[in-house]
Formats: sequence, C-alpha cells, structure tokens
Amino acid sequence: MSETTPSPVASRVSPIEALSAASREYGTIDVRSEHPRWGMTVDLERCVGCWSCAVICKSENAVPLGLWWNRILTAGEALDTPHVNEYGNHELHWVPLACQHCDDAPCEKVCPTSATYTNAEGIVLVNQDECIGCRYCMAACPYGVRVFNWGTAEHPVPVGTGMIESRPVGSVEKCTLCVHRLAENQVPSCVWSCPAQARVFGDLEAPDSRLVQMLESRNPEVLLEEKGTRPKVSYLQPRRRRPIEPSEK
Amino acid sequence: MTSEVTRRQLLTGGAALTAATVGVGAVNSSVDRSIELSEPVDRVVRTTCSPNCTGACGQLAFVRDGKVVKIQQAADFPDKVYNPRGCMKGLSYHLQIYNQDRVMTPLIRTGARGSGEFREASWDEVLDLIAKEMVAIGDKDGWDSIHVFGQVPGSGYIHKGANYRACATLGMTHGTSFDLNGDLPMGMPITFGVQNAEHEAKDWANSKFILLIGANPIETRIPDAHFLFDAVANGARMVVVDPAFSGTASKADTWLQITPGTDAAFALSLAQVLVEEELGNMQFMRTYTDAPLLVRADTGKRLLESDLVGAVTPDRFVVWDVTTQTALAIPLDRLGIPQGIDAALEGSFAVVLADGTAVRVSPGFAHVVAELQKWTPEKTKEITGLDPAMVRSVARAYAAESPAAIIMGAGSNHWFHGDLQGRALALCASLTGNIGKSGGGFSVYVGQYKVRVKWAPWVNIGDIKAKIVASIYFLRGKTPQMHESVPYPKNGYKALFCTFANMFVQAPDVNRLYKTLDELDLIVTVDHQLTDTAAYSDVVLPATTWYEKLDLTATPLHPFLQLQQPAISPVGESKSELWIWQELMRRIDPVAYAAHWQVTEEDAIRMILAEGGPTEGITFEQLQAGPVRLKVPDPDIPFLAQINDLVPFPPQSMPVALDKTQPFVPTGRIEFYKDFDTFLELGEQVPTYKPPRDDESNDPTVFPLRFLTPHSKWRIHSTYGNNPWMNEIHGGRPPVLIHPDDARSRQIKEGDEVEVANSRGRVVAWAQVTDSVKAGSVILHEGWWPRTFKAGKGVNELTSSEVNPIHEVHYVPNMWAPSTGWKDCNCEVRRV
Amino acid sequence: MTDKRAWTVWISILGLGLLIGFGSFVYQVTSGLGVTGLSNTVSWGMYIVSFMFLVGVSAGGLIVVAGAELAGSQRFEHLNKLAVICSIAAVTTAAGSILPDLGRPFAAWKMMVHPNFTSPLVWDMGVLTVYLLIGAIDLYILTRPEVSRKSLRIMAIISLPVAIIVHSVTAWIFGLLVARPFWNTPLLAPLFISSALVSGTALVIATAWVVERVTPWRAGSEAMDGLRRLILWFIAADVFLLGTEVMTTFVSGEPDHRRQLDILLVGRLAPVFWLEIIVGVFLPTIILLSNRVRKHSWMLLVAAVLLILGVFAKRINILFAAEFEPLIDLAPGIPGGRPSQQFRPDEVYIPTLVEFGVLFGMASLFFSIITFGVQMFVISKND
Ligand SMILES: Nc1nc2c(c(=O)[nH]1)N[C@H]1C(S)=C(S)[C@@H](COP(=O)(O)OP(=O)(O)OC[C@H]3O[C@@H](n4cnc5c(=O)[nH]c(N)nc54)[C@H](O)[C@@H]3O)O[C@H]1N2
Ligand SMILES: Nc1nc2c(c(=O)[nH]1)N[C@H]1C(S)=C(S)[C@@H](COP(=O)(O)OP(=O)(O)OC[C@H]3O[C@@H](n4cnc5c(=O)[nH]c(N)nc54)[C@H](O)[C@@H]3O)O[C@H]1N2
Ligand code: SF4
Ligand code: SF4
Ligand code: SF4
Ligand code: SF4
Ligand code: SF4
Ligand SMILES: [Mo]
Repeated sequence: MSETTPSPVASRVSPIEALSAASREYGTIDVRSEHPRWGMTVDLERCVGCWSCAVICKSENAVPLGLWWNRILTAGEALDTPHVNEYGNHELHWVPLACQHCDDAPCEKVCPTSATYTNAEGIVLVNQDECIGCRYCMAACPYGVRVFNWGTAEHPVPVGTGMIESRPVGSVEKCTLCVHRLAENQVPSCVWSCPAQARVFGDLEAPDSRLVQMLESRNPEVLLEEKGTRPKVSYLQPRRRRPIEPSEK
Repeated sequence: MTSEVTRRQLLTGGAALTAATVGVGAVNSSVDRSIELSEPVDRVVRTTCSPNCTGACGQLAFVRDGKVVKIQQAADFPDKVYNPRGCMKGLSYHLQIYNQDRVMTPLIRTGARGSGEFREASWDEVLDLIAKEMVAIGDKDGWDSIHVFGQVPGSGYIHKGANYRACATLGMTHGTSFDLNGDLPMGMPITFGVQNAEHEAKDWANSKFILLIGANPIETRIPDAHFLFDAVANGARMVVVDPAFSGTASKADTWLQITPGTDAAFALSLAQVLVEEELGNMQFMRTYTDAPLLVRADTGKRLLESDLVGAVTPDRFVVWDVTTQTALAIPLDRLGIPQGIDAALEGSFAVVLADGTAVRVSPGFAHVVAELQKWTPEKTKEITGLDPAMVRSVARAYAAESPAAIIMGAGSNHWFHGDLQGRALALCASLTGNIGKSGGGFSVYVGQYKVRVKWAPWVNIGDIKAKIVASIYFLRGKTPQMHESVPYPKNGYKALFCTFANMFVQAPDVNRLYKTLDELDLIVTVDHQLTDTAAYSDVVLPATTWYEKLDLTATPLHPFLQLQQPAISPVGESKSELWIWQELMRRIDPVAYAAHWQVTEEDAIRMILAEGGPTEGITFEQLQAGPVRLKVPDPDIPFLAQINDLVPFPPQSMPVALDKTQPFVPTGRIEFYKDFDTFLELGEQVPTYKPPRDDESNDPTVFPLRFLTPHSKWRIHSTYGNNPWMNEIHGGRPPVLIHPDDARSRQIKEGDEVEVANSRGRVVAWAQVTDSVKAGSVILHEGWWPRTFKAGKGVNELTSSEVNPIHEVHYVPNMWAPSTGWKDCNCEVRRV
Repeated sequence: MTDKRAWTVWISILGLGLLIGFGSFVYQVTSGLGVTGLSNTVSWGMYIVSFMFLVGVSAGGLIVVAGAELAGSQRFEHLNKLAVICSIAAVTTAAGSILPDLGRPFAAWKMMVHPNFTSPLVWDMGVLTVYLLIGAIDLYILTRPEVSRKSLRIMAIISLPVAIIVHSVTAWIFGLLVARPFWNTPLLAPLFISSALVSGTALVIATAWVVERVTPWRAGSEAMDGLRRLILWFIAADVFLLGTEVMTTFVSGEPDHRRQLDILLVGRLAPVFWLEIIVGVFLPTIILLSNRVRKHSWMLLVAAVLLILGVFAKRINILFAAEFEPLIDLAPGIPGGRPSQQFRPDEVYIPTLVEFGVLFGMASLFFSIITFGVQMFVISKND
C-alpha cells in the first residue's frame, strides 16, 4: 500500500477525472507546499448541523449502514435541542466530529500490529491488511471516532462506490481524510459537500493556504486539548452575539 | 430488516458449524472482505435535485454498473457563491432510488381501498384500465370531474407541465398546490398585486439587518443558510421571531419568543413605533404606495376622479394637495406624485362630489396610522408575549440599518390570517423604504411556486388552457363565497389523478379528504415511493426519479435554469410522467395524441426556450453542460422597474397575463388600504391583527394547546421519511415537543407515548419535553410517515381546511386563492 | 477417584462446555462480532473482563509458591503444584480470552511478526508468555523426583517481580489511555495487583478445598489456615486502595472522573458495584474472621468463591465504568437510529448468548486444565 494513493485498479475511470471543469475547479486544493501536512478547521458559527458532511462521507467511503466516520455532536441537551446557559439564555450549536488526525495519536501508540500509522503527510490511517480487530485503538481514541466492522456490511446500494479500498469484517476503520482524493489534488468530500462552507481544509505547511490564514486570524481551539493529542483538526468557536437591548420609550 | 439480518446470520452460522469440521481458517477467509474491491465508476451525470423543497441543487450522480453509488453536489454554478448547494437529504437520494418502498411495477388494488393489497400488473393492462375508466367518467359526468393534482410546477416544467397539457387536451381540471400548501403568501397579492416576490438568496449577504419571522432557513433552506452568515460576517444583525428555539434562532443575535399566531400584532407594533418615532420614509410611502390616495369616509371606498367630476376615462385616484388645499387626480400610468403637488398623508378633508354632496375624505395612510394606534408595543404585549421595550428596540434597529431585510416564513404564513401577518410586515418594509433595494425587501420563501419560463407552448394546446380549480375545493367541496370564476365541475368530482404529491398525508384535514375520496370512482397515483397516498389508490403507477429522466427546472431561490438528466435507466418498470400521459392519450384520444403528444422531453424544452423572455439566448446544449442564469437582474430583486422607473404595480406574475393580476391592486400602487367589499365587511381594509381561530371548531378551553407543524430538517415533507441514513440520525420516531410546564400539568414525561388530538383527528407519538418550545404550544413536524406513529394517519388528521373569504375575493389559481392555515390549529395532549 | 458418576458428569460438562464454546466461537467468526452485544461505544465486553479477571487469578499460584519460598516457609509445600497448575490454567485461558475478542483472530499472528513496541498489549503479550514459562518451569521443577530447592528459589526471585509486572502491565493496557479518565490513574496497577492477590489466593483455596474432598490428596489444615490469613491481608490492601481511589475522586477528582464514579455508586453499574463490595468483600471477610462461622469447613469454600465473584464484579466495573461514560460531553452525536442491532450506537451493552457460549467454553477450558493438571501432577504423585 502506498502512502497516499489507494491501490490502483486497472482501467479505472477516476470519478474525479470524470468531473466537468467547473466542478473540478471547485474542489481543487488551494495551495500545497512541497511536504504538505494536511489539516482542517470547522467554523462552528457557520455549521448548521446538517450532517451533509457525514452523509457524503458514507457515500464517498462506502461506509456501511450503522457506521459513521463523521457525525455531528449537538452542544445542547439532545439532538438539535438547546440547553439553557448560566444567564438563562438558550444556546445551541453543533460540533462535527471525525478523526482529528492527532499529531500525537493515542490510537497509533497502542495498536499492537502498527496497523494504525501516520503517513508522510500527517494523516492517521489504518492499514486494513494489518488490523487484527483488537479494538484497542477504539478504547484509546479520546474522541470515539473509530468504528468497527461488526459484520457483513449492509449497503443501501448493492454496489460499492469504487472510490476507496475495502475493509474486511472485523477490522477497524475511520476517517482517512479522503486520502484517495488528496492524491488527485481534491479536497475531502466532507469539505466539498458542506453547504454552509463551514469546513476549511488545507496544507498546514503552506502559509498562503486559506486554512493557515484562517487559523491565524480566528483563534482556533482543539477538542480535548488537555489530552495532549495535538489534533490537526480544529474548531473556530461561535461568534459573540450582539443582542438587541430593550429600550424604553 | 433486523429479523432478516438475524436469519441470515443464523443461516451462515449453521453453515459455518458444518464447515468448522473442514477447517475454520477456510471459512474465515471466505467472509473476510465485507466490501468488494470496486470496479471503476462508469460515468458522472449532472442533474438537479427536485423534491418539493425549492432548493434546486445541482447534483452529480456517480454511476457504476448502472447504479447510482454516490450523489454529490455539482458545485458548478457560475455564480460561485451558490456552490456547493445541496443538503444531506439530496446527497442521500440514492437511498430513495433503491429502497424497499420503491414502486417497481404498476399496481392494481385487489383488496378494499387502503388495505394495501395490490397485484402487479403490466403497463398495458393498467393503461387500458385507466383510459377506459376515465373515458367512462368523462362521458358520464364530464371530463372536468377528473381532478389532476400535482405539486409545484416549478420544479419540473416538462413532466409537471404534461399534466396541464393533458388537462388542456381532455378538459380535466388541474388542481393547485401553492395555495393548498398554504405557501401562497396572500399578503403579497393583496399588497403588491403579485403572486410572490422575493430576493434571490445570495442577496441576503448584502443586508445590514435581517428579521426572520416564522422562517427557519437554517433547517428549511440549508443550501442558502450561509448567506445569513455572510451577512453577519459583514456586520449585519440577525433577529429571529419564532415561538420555538429553532436552528435559525440558535444563530440569531436576538431571539423573540413570540406567541404563535400573533405575528401581525408584533409587526403592527413595529410599524407603530416607526410611525410614532418618525423613523419612516414618508417619501417612499407617498411615491410608491396608496398612502396619499384619498378614501371616502361615507363608503370606505377610494375617492375617484369620477366621483368629483362625473364619468371620465381614465378614472384616476385622488390625493389632497396641502399647498392648494384641493383634491387632485394623479396619473395612473406612472408612480409618484406629480411635481408641485404636496400630497397629504394625514388629516381629514371635505370634498364636494359631482352630485353636489359633501363628503369627508382622508388619505389611506391616515387609516393605517389610526389602526396602528391600537397596536402599540404596550398594547400588543399581552397578545404576543413580547417585552414592549424589546419591540421598540427592534423597530429602531430595523429602521437604523439600511438595507434591512424581512424574511417571512411558513410559520407566519400558515395561518388563517396569514395574509394579515404578511400585510403588516410589508407595511414595515415599505415604511422603511426597503422595497426594491438590494439587501432589503420583504421576502417569503415558502414553497416552490415560480414558473420562471414561458411555458405556454408546452402546457397549452394552442389557445386551449387547462381549467384550474383550487384543490381546496376538491378537498372540501364548494364554499358559499367561492369566486364565480372557479371552474368547479358541475357534477362534482369522480376521479383523482395524483402525481408528484403525497396528498393524503400532506393535505390538510385529511379525515375530511378521505370522505371526499370515498365518493370517487377512480384514484390513480403516480409516484416512485409507495406512500400512503399510493397505498390508498386504486392504481399505482411507478414513476421515475430525477436521476432517471429529462426535465427543466428553476426555483425562486436562485436564478439558474437547470436540467434534470437521466443518469441511470428507469428502475424496475418505472416510466416518466410524460410517457404515461402519452400512452393514456393514445388510448383515449388518438387524434389529439397524434396532433399534440408526439413530443419528446427535449422537444418540449426547446419549445420553451425558444419562447425567449427570461430564456432568451439559452440553448439546450448549454443546459446540458450546466446551470445557466436566466435573463434577470443581478442580484435578482423584485420591483426594480417600479422603484427605479416608476412603472405601476404589479409586475407580471408568470405564467398568467398581467391583466389577471392587475385587478388585485387597482391603484397600481403598493396597497395598504383595500376597498374591496369583503375587506370592508370584515374590517380588514388596513393591516390589522385578528387572533388565531382554528375554524372556531376547537374550543380553546378543551383544546388549549396550539398545534404547530413546521417542516423538518430531516425530510422534505414526507420525502426522505423512509431514508435509512436520516433515520439513523434522528431515530425514526416522531417526537412531540412539549414545554415542561405543559408536560408537568399533564403528567407527561420524556419519551411517554402521547395522544395529540382535537375534534378533527388524533395521532399518537412520543413526548420530548423541552423548553425550546413556547408553553401553550406543541410542535410535531409535518411529513412523518403515518407508519412511524403509534397510531393515526399523520399530523394532518388535526389540521384545518377552513377557507378565508378574503382569499376568495379574486380567483387566480396559485395567486389569489385560498391559502391553507396549517398552524392555525388547537389540540390537547394526553398520556396514553 | 471416589465417585465415578460425578467424575463422568464433570468431564461431560467440561466437554460440552468446550464444544459449545468452540461452536459459539466459530459462529462468531463467521458472522462477525456483531453477534455479540458490543458496539462502537462499548467496544470491549465480557471477553476483556474475562481476560482481566483471569490474568488476576493467575497471580495466586506463583505468589503462593514464590512468596512462601522466599519467606523460607514450608507451610504451603503441599499446595505448590496445585497452585502452579491454577496459574497455568488462568494464564492460558486469559490469553485464550483475547482470541474471540479479536475481529480477525486469524490475523493475530501479525502481532508477533511485527509487533509495535509502544503498545501495552504487546508488552502484555510478552510478560504473559514469560509468566506462562515460569509456571511451566515451576511445574517442571516441582514434578522432578527430587525437588531442587535452589532452582525453586531462583524461580521465586524471578517470578515475584514478573508477577508484579504482569499485573501492572495488564493494568496499563487500560491505565495508560488518556482517553478514559476512569482508567487513567496511577492507582490502577496497585489495584490490579491487590485484587489479583485476592482472587488468585481464593482460587487456590477453592481448588484445594474441592480437591481435598474428591481425592485423597490433602493440603493440610495448617496450609489452608495460612492461606486464610494471607488472603485477609490481601483483602485489606485491596479495600484500602479502592477506598483511596474513591476518596481522592470524591475530594479532588476531575468532574468526568467523578461522573464515572457515580455510574458505579448510584448509576447503571451500582448493582454490580455493591455486589462487589457486599458479596465480594464484606461477607467473605466476616466469614474468614468469625470463628463461629468458620467452624463449618465448607464456609471456607463459600468465602473463596464469593471473593472470586467479587473480583469478577470488580473487573466488570472497571471496564464498563469507563466505557459507559460518553467520551465527549456533548449530546448526543451518535446516530439514534439503528437499522440493525449490531451497530448499536449508545452506551449500552448486554452480552449475548454467543458471548456466554464462548465464556462457557473458556471456563471449561480453564477447569479442564486444572482437572487434568491435578489429575496428572498432583494426585498421581500423592497416590
Ligand atoms: N428540510 C426541509 N426544508 C424545506 C421543506 C421541508 O419539508 N423540509 N419544505 C419546503 C417548503 S415547501 C416550504 S413551504 C418551506 C417552509 O419552511 P419555513 O418557512 O421555514 O416554515 P416552517 O418550517 O413551517 O416554520 C418555520 C418556523 O416558524 C415557526 N413558527 C410556527 N408558528 C409560528 C408563528 O406563529 N409565528 C412565528 N413567527 N413563527 C412560527 C416554527 O417554530 C418554525 O421554526 O420549507 C422548504 N424547505
Ligand atoms: N401539517 C402540515 N402539513 C403540511 C405543511 C405544514 O407546514 N404542516 N406544509 C405543506 C406544504 S408547505 C407543502 S409544500 C406540502 C407538500 O406536500 P407534497 O409535495 O405532497 O409532499 P411530499 O411529501 O414532498 O410529496 C411529494 C411526493 O412526490 C413524489 N415524487 C418525487 N419525485 C417524483 C417524480 O418525479 N414523479 C412523481 N410522480 N412523483 C414524485 C415523492 O416520492 C413524494 O411522495 O405539504 C403541506 N403539508
Ligand atoms: S482522533 Fe482518535 S482515531 Fe483519530 S488520530 Fe486521534 S486518537 Fe487516532
Ligand atoms: S483494531 Fe486494528 S487498528 Fe485498532 S489497535 Fe487493533 S490492530 Fe490496530
Ligand atoms: S475527510 Fe473524508 S473520510 Fe474524513 S470525514 Fe471527511 S469525507 Fe469522511
Ligand atoms: S456539512 Fe457543514 S454545516 Fe453541515 S453539519 Fe457538516 S460542517 Fe456542519
Ligand atoms: S433536498 Fe432540497 S436542499 Fe437538499 S439537495 Fe435537494 S433540492 Fe437541495
Ligand atoms: Mo411548501
């Protein structure tokens, strides 16, 4: 298995090459340095909790029914339900969650077979041939983003997508940062498909990338910073509201 | 599904035990790969997502082995701010193409209606059967006794247009959807003389202040929601008026938790503050609205030039010139007040009529102002539950920022008096001069109504047009005040041809509808899902999806014309709607078939494009390559000719001719004073507030809770209600959102099974106790499939189909016609 | 053999158990782990409990042999072989418990071929192998016609630290995970050691008690009483550590750590927790202390069994207290629907019949090893 490309299948029509020029341009990665280190940030002010990114991830990666590599947490009482803050105001926002591609990845450390590894571009991946399905990585990941192939995969469409390598029953899988798309210089599918344009993807090593500029100007936060995992995925917190104050006559 | 899995597992298990003796290792390797390494993608096809949603999002179908394996936004709009456009539902439509509810063959009912017992039939058999029955009905009771109901023509001009063409051919009556859906904002035709008029979505980003009232675009306009954030990033403020803490409220600077059904009172208070604090733009009112036009105190009608001088043509309207203290007629063909006239907006004056009698007159605006005095923030506090100090601040902030937009949604519109809410809000937008201004406006994005192309050559047969009866009359029969021009069939209805709609779930007051259905000899439904409507029909015809056919679509939300294009061949034996009509025509009327129906989709599209106007210069080939912008202003904003060039109101509402809608606003101006008789009789000549009424049939002391049924983020109405991915996310069980106080007094706890009922019907679902809803109201989203409930035929067992007589003053289908008040509904909730 | 019928029944049960266990395992392998009650949120279940428990239980044998040897006491001499056999049975079955937990057991060899040395699981694999070797060598030495004291002493010097390491490393499998605050405490290793001592010794007591009843072999009352006293110290140490853990968490714990404690004290695991405390600690302690109760010799067996149960309950608690707590304190973020039960998304775990089948097989394996070990090495020599 090479680092960034999925195993090539003879006579494959790349679903990316098949795109129209306009579509293809839309998804082209803005800039990349010589040795890219990929990262992402999610603007929680813009995120509308729509799960488009989660749903497209399922299609893109042929994730079976019941499994999600990407899901949306609600900062509230329950799905889409607000909570009341200390000032008595309702509050609600969403936190999309997939693999954080930790620089110091606990999942990688504990993997007994080195099936989980970090590639040259900083992406944490699972080598499906090596995974023995011990699920130690699932216990070790502080974010709970890894999922296991519990049985014969059920798919809504009785054909795979042809866009990513297969995963055997009994192995662990998770977000690959759409490594197969990066090889064709296209942003991950969830980034493409976010209708609110809340997701910004890019090369952390490229100072001109939109990502780096966003991170520099917007004070990003990472999830569970105290765990010391140093994620490459970060979050831009919701803005401060400018409420209208009541005024007398 | 679960049992199937278990059975399969058991089988494999059994086999495995046997195999174990042979060698466990071998067995293991045979099941090792859960996902087969894939073959390449065959092709990628661009089409347009077209449920009854209005998104009109360009989607790419990734096809492999003849199956759609992935759907992703095309993101190819030339106006890049619209990319990527598309939500989680559109991205999972392949789960609709291949699901267990997909209708694969024509079906003929074998059991009693609604028993769900069908047998599969061949196309020849069903087509012969339908043709025979239709002819029998047509011959006996008249073709007009066949009602063709199809939702929202704008999302598929060709196949939905074919319904109209069929009606024109045979004389069947076509139904309406924009008004039946309650989406027709009656405040619009009443005030502006148009069907509706909204800014294209990207213009939101140009606003400095956005007031969203009864609109929840974060959940119901997901592809456009980001324009709100763009505005906010540019410094705009966002105020959301909603009885519930909606997704949109979560993004607002200020959320006003209004009592449901009282938006008009709130809007009148805003207007009152604008007037009282002189924050209004009176020059705008004078120039573009009927504010200066004099109204007679004796009749309540407008003073006409002919009143003063005897019969004249044209008969003009009259203003009071403050300088000369005389009543002067002003031109009809041009907005504005002629140079030199200082038209009064207030006061009361005496004029002498041609016959010598003296009457008192006053400018229309004086009536408005007089009315507003009744609705100061302090006075509406009890009604709306809103802090007057807050309402004042909002009014000031709205007036202070320019441009400022008002976006009204179905939460405001879906009321018996939705027109009054709209009129009051339109008044605010006019008072601040925000009409016809980028970043401003009063926009109502409810429903997909807009026919944006000149489709006459396709839907009409020469000069013959389909007769259109508002579907509410199909549902509940004639009303006493029904407009005389409604072509209601003289023998009543005998058959229903339902297509592109899940009518028996989504229409109001369905228990009444079912009574109507009992009277029918024939119910045909065309759908690709076996909905409850299909399941109650006599014949079900398998339709193709927008991944299986060619069509032309547009939307009010953005100005791009797009194609639906077939990515895969029709699933099962499904056929396109055009094909179905063609085959029926061949059997019913071979002559007409030969003359008018040997047309392909492409022919029809070319026919429409060739008509020009908005499609001037657009070719079929361009559309095949991607979306093409219609010939409209950029940004696409209504009333530009009126505001910039003083052309009288109304602009044309396609597809009807201007002379149909012109009578809505006889003054040619934005009208806040309506002098039609019914308005005068009902005391609605100027915008006012009237409380919710729910048909007056559900006594609030017995049914004290307001039953709100907004649209769910997870579905488009009932579409996607059976989507496995969506169900995985939300759990698939309808929650009844109820306030903790209301729950406590009814001993209801989280997760309890509860019955929601009123005099019209009931459903049983599960309580979700949350203070995100306003006490005194419950929320149960519309569109849940009946089978997801513990009991009941869906939320519309409870809703009202009452017709507001104001909506019957004129009759132009989908433009001035009865608009349904879904949310105007009382209920009681109890634990079961 | 005193009772031929009882023997036949016992052997049949073991045989049946092995068969059921194997059958369940094969079924599970062919269907995938979806036939268990596990899910993406509770991804480790009874197999891991069984593993943790059995590793602990294995402590008994070596500690008894090595401890007595180093203390220069001959009191437990008679018990030596039996104790070592218990250890071997436990270590073997512990390793065996891991196998059905693997999604791809047939790929397990990859762990040996290219191990990742940062993984505590790899360390554990190593120390368990060493541990098993020590057991085997011990047994070899003990079954020589002439038992070499010197070799035993050397083995004791090696095996005591190894025992400590085994239980520490097993604890670190959990304890080193920053993800799970409940496990991520320095006290976890000592706790594992103390409860290993309790359960290991209890197992030796129980086995000896039974073997004394069904064979002519005798441990001797002095040895049994010695074990009784020993185990009381172990219980004390265990209770002390648990108490410390609970106290520190209460007084100064992180909120999420506290919440996990709540799961134990009053939450979903409370029944198991209080079972652990009352049945697993309180009752047996009374039995072991009270002279009146102890008069009935079978009470010793009861106490030993209760102690073992208690430690088993504790393993359950340790595993699930951490797994039942959502990792990120935001709601709910987990798809609520479940198209098929095997992808169960919430923090719920109910073991299935398949798991019980496999566990039954494990238990049978464990008792088979003891039975035949005792048969071969203990009684035959005594006879
Ligand atoms: N996801 C999704 N999107 C859709 C649709 C869908 O079904 N699902 N349907 C499409 C169609 S056809 C339409 S018409 C639109 C409708 O979409 P919207 O215009 O957003 O209408 P609703 O969802 O009915 O209601 C919007 C809000 O009004 C609030 N509301 C209820 N009663 C009142 C009231 O009395 N006053 C005020 N101020 N607010 C109130 C509700 O709490 C809700 O948050 O959505 C379109 N988009
Ligand atoms: N209580 C309550 N009820 C409401 C509302 C409310 O707010 N509250 N809102 C109302 C509103 S605003 C609206 S717009 C209506 C919507 O009412 P409908 O438009 O009837 O609702 P849908 O569930 O979207 O049904 C569309 C049907 O068309 C089918 N369909 C899709 N594509 C095709 C095709 O290509 N060919 C054919 N033949 N069929 C196709 C779909 O499978 C689906 O069954 O609901 C209304 N009902
Ligand atoms: S988020 Fe979890 S799975 Fe991803 S790298 Fe970090 S620890 Fe590993
Ligand atoms: S489940 Fe696979 S990836 Fe995870 S730790 Fe075990 S071997 Fe490594
Ligand atoms: S980057 Fe790719 S794999 Fe990861 S969540 Fe997004 S779509 Fe899924
Ligand atoms: S697609 Fe974008 S807006 Fe929607 S949930 Fe994902 S990140 Fe949020
Ligand atoms: S369902 Fe509506 S918003 Fe979603 S992709 Fe389709 S058209 Fe767009
Ligand atoms: Mo609608």
